[in-house]
Amino acid sequence: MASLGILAKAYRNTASYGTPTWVEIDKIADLAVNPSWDEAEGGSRDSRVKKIAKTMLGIEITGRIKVDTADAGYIALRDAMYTDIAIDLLILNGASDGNGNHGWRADWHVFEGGEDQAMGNRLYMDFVLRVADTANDPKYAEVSGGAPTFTDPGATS
Amino acid sequence: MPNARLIEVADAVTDRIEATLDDPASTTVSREYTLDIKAASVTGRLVYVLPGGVENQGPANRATDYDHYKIGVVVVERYTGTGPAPKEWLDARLLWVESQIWNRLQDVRQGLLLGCLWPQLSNWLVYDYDLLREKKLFWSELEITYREDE
Repeated sequence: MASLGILAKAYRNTASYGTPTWVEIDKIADLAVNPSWDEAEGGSRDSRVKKIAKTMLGIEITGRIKVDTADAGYIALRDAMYTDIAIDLLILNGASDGNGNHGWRADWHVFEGGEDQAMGNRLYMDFVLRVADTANDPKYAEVSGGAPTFTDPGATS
Repeated sequence: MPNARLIEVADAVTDRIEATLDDPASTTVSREYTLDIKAASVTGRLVYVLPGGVENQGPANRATDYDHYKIGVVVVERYTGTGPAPKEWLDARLLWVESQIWNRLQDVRQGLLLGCLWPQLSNWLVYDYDLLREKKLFWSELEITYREDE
């Protein structure tokens, strides 16, 4: 099956962290997932090749959602934008029951919530998510056995 | 089911016209598919609403697409006096269509249709020259394209 952006999914947890209930936020139009490791030099005299260590992982998500004051997903993102509320989101590149689909789960802060109100526009909110400093560590998510499974980023086997 | 939606939109346009007319007693409004009008039998002012077409404009978001619904509106009235229709009679018809139909359908400030459709494109053939000259028939055609992403 083709992997298409329109079939990617963003889910919001409407229950507890330990026993989540995932509800799709389907009014999202565009979304980009941007994980990026910081680097540190690790070279030494034992080799003339520059070596780089991965240190800290930054995960930023940018997206665009239709302004709809009757939509709970939009309301959650909007409210998290103007408060300190962190929202538990599962961002996947496909459905949460599609084996092999993957993405990220974390408590996210909404850092930006731009809205272009040009006269000819249908209103959308442009948002930026970054991982919040909460007790719930962010996880890499991969669907296996028909449900998301979670691991710590950077963990080795 | 875009055709079912097109019918809903046409019905909503018909309802809006009927509900907002300043002079409802002198105007007959109906939704039609075809117009078979004999000029000599036209009585009073007739307003026809016609479903025009559907166009899908691609995804609006992960849940829905942008859809366009074209609705045609035709206003017909026969001049029953002697000689050609005078300028003042035509002026009044043009202003009536503008105030009662055009301004109320193509202006998004009048409110969303069915709560979620807004006029995206509008055009207006103000009057048909040939029908006016040959049949003394005032014939005005409007096309409004409504857009939604629900």
